[in-house]
Parts: sequence; C-alpha cells; structure tokens
Amino acid sequence: MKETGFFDTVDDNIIYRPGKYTIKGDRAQDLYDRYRFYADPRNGFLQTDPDLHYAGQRAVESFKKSAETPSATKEEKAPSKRAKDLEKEVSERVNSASLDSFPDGWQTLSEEELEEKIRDDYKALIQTGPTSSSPSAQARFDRLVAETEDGFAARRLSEIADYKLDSNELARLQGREFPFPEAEIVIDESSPTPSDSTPTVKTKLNKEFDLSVLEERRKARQAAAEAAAQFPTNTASWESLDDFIEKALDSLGGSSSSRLAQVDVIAAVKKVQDSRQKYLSEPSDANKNEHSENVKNLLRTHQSSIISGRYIAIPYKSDGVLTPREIAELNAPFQKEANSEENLRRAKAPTVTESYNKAVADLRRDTPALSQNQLSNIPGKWSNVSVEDRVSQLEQTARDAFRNAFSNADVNDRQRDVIIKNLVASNIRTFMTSRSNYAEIKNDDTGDIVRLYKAPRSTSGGLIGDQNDLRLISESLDEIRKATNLTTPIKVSLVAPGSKINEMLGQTAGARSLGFAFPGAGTHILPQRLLDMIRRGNSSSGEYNPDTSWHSVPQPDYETAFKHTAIHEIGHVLMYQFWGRDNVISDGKTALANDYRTFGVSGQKISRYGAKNVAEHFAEAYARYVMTGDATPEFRNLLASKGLLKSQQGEN
Amino acid sequence: MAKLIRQHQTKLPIIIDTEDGPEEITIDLAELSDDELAQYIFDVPQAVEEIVYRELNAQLGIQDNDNK
Repeated sequence: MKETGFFDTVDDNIIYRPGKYTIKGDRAQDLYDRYRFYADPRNGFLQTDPDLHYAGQRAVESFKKSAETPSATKEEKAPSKRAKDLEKEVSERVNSASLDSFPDGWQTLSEEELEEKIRDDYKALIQTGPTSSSPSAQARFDRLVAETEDGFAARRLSEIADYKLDSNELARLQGREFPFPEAEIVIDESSPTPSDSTPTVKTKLNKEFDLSVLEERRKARQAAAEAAAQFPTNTASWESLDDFIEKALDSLGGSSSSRLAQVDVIAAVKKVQDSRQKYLSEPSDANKNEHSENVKNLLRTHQSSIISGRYIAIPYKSDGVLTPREIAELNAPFQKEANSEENLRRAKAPTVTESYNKAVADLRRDTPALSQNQLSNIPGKWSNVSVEDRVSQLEQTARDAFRNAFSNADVNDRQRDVIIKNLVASNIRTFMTSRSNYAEIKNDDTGDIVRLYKAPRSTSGGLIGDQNDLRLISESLDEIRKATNLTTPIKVSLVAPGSKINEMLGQTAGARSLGFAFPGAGTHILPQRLLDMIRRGNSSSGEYNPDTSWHSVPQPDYETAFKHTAIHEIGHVLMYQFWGRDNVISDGKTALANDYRTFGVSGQKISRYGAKNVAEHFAEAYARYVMTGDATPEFRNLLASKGLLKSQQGEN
Repeated sequence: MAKLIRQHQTKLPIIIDTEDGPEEITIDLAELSDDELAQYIFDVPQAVEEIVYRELNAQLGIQDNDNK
C-alpha cells in the first residue's frame, strides 16, 4: 500500500470517512496523479480540480447534444466550427493545467470523434465496473462518480441514465454518492443489488441504507432534462431567468437608494422579456441582437444599481434566443464583479429578505401587548393582535397598490413580493422612528379592534387608556351591537394630546380635540382630555356642562362622556362606511344629507351640537339611539334604509 | 415613457369633535412627509398607494401629472 499524502491507505474497497476519501495505494496514486483528486475536510466528499472538471463537463455536454440529435457519421461530416472551438478549448485547458484529462491523442479529436470515444469509454466502464483493469477507464469511472458528489449530481445522474444503465449498474454508481458521509461505509460490490428491488448498500455494520431517495432524485432529474429538451415551447430554462431577477432584486439590499433602483432593474427586465417574445415570434438577426443588448443592459443596470447589496451573476443557461455560450460571454464581465473584493465586502450587507425579517422582528419587539390578566378583566373575549397580522395586512395593501400603480411592468408575483417586502420593511422602520406604535387587541366574537397608543413621552412603554377605559369601550361596543344591526368590525383608538396622529390635526383642532374620526381608521378618543373636561366642570359648578341641550345625552360624569364620545365618533365612521363611496375617500355627507331629506330627518332637533351639520346630527342621534333607545320614526327609517336597525339583525 | 399618474385619492377628510363644537379638516396625503404618512399605513389604503406612487415616481423621474 502506498501513502499518497492525501488519502489514507485501506483494503480493496473504497471507504468514505468523515473528512476523508480513501483509496488503495496504486489506484489512489493513479487518481491523484491524473486528476488531482483531493479530499474536502468540510464534508468528506471527493473534489476534483475545477479546470479539469470544466473540461469534462464540456465533453459530456457535447456527447449529450449528439445523443439528442442523431448526426451524420464522421465520414460524412466535416468538423464544425463549434467542434474546433471545443477541441481548442479542451486542448488549452488540458495544456494550461498540465493535466492529462483525456487519454493520449484525444485532445486532437474532432467533437464527433471525441463524443464517440466518450460514449465507448463509458460503455466499457459500465460493462467492466470499477474493477476494470483499464487505468483510463477506471479513472474516468471514479471521476464520474466523484463528480456526482461535488455539485454536479443532477447532471451526472441524468447523463448516466442516458447510457441506459440497469438498476444494478445504477445502484453501484449511486452507492458512491452515499448520503451518509458521517458513517463508515464499504461498498459491497461482491453482492450486486437485485434489480427488482430498491437499491441498497451494506455497511461494515451490515446495515442496509435505502437508496430510494437517490432513485427518486434521478427520476426527477431525468424528467427535468426531458422537459428542458422541449425548449423553447417549455419555459423551464426561461424560468431560471425569473429566479435570477428575483435574486437580483433581493440582492439590491434595503437602503432607500437600492429600493428605488429596483424599478430600474424591473424596467430592464421588461425589455428583456419583450425582446425575447419578439424574437420567438419573428426570429431574425436584428431581433436577436436587440435581445442580446437588452440582456446586457439588464446585467449592467443590476450591477450599477448595487449600492449596499450584493451583486450576483446571472445563472441561467439559455433563454430560447441566445446560446449558452453567448449568454456566458455576456455574463463574463459581470462575473468579475461578483468575485470582486468590493462585492465580497458587500456580501455581508443584508438582502431585502433579511432586512424585512429584521424589521418585522424589531416591530414585534417594539409593540406592546396586554397581559392575560388585563385582557381577562375586559368584558368580552379579547386577545392581542399579532404583529404578523398587522404586517400581513399592510403587505396585502401594498401589493394591491403596487399592482394598480405599476401594472404595465409585467412583473411576476415573486418579483413583486421582493419589492413589496422592501417597501414594507422601509415603512415599518419609518413608522417605528415616529414613535407612534401601539398595542392592539381584538374581540374574538365581533372582530372589533381597540388600539392603545404608546404614551408619547413615556420611557417605560406606558399606554394611553387604563383598565376602566377598556371596560367603557367594551361596554360601548356591546351597546352598539345590541342596539344596531352592525356586523362589520369597529376600530377604536385611544390617543394622547401629544400623540403624533393627534398633532397632525393641526395646532387649532389638535389642541382641543376630544375625539376624531376619518375613513379607514375608525374612531379616536382622547381619554385625558375627557377627564380634564369633566374635572373642570366639577371644580367650577359641581356639574359638567349643565346645558343638557349641548349633547343629545347629558354627560354628568366621565363614564357617560366617554361612552357618548365613543359612540358619537363611531356614528361618524358609520357615515363614512354606509354613505361614503366604495374604495374612495369620501365623508359621505352629501349622500347622507340627501337621505335626510328623503326620510324627513332634516330639521329635527337633536342637540345644539347636532345642529352644526348633518354629520354631527347623525352622530348625536345615533349616540342617543344606542345609549337610550330613543329615536324618531324618521331616524329609524333612515337606519333601516341601510339595514342598521336592531330588528334587522340577521338580514345582512 | 409612460407617465405615472396618481390613481388614488389623496384627500383624507377628518371630523374633529371638541368641547366647543365640531371642526372638519382635510389632510392631503400627497403633502405629508414620509414620517407623517407612516401614521396611516395600517389603516388607510390610499396612504400605502401614495407611498408606492412616490417610490415609482421618484425612480422614474416622471413629471407629476396627478389628478389631485
């Protein structure tokens, strides 16, 4: 036995060990001398020299091509330019690497001759198996096996299948691609696997490993190869460009500039897709050149768009217009970028997906939640709304918005998802920066949402609203459900005077607001303002606002003021919802005023506050109806016209 | 190059109730800063549409031709 320096010495069988590949003396030396096999300590797989690997790959591809397209005999056919190119390439690679990748004399063969040699050689390999006495056949057999383990498994197993191996032969090859590198395995070649059963390989421990997974993989690869052979009617190869586009967008990173650059890349993608379709409809040199320029532009655009992300090279081999060689030539200059030091440095930058995941995780950490004890003290069944639910809803809205605004871009859903993720992540960050986060709880029966904003200047994460406020909200919502046929969820937010969403109302209104409402977000209540108002009233007169005509329901205390304000604001929301226009921001006041005239509600006195305008009249009348059951027949008819009367429950 | 047009409505009507009486204002989403716009992203679909519009418009460099 001979020590090779790379391989351990062993007995007559090939042995896989963790981090090792061991072959017996002379044979190991032969493999090492001829092919520079070496063991990869990371995974225990056998590796080959990359240059030699490439040359072998080219040869097999050539063979495969000839197998798909029966060609004339070599006597009838002169060597093609491609054959000469291949011959030159193989020769150059072999010479430059000083590796004898093929037997003597093979380097000068034409492509067809080379293919024939390879075919015969493989046939010999199959017939003789790994115990062949032919060094070159044995070496190439082992090399073929080795290549199934260093990233080319799919190609190789598919190609092996092309040589019509029976299951015994296949099992013998598959046994070398053993999926259990941590085990010490001996290929038991003395007992071939029965052809009518699932291939197995015995270990020294006499344990049988099921190789059916490998068999399934082989079948899947074969099916993929057959599908690819139907190109261009089949889109398998073209879909790999979609993969590239998706990865390219993701690789742009999460910075604002990169986010914007995605649109550039999308525009370039659109041109590539269009020019490809144009060529397929009308094949011509001009159309091909145009497509080639568009692919080049896509690569250039993507490369120049990289700011904080990482550049990735285009991975697809064919698009039905350009040959693999043409694509490789286009890609070559950009491949250098992928391998550049700058890109390697940038590779540490987060991708869009990573940025998105971090933004969601940060929002989750930043979002307060009510304790189970707090939730259980609120009347009804309440639970915290998850951050994921909030983000999911935002994503859906963003997806719809993007599709509406950019429908002509012909961006597929997967690519759009990357852009949406970027957009959502960016806005989550902006939202968190504005310190306007809140806890959100949901009534499990009605779907109603109560939102408790963080106290603006609280450093301890305090929330606006206390347990009593939550009780009052729950009771108000319950009263609405009992008095009104309302099946849609309601959203109520508790905010502070210093909350950003209140300050955005402007200095005049924001400084005096007790509550406010706008389409989409339901009602907002400022508990502190209500409390201050009640206290002021008590300190001066012992009773808040003795003018009972001011509101439709007298407000002698905080509880009544709170409930009235909540139901009043929800009345505004109902106006938006039932009298506004679908999908358009509209306060619905005009439509409501028309219905007021139709049902004779206009002119009825409800309160001095309600006399200000039709929206306030409706909110005041609705609050009185919910809180006291008192409503005029005309107002009831108005509610009935929208199916909102209690007696109409079950009709919607 | 096709022009990008605001397809969404940007005017957000808000009813504010105070001790002294009601007030009505209209906030134009198109005039809000990104920071302010973020207040509405979980509630108002038009706010998200405005964000998307800004993203695309800024990148494409298209002259504003909205319908606000």
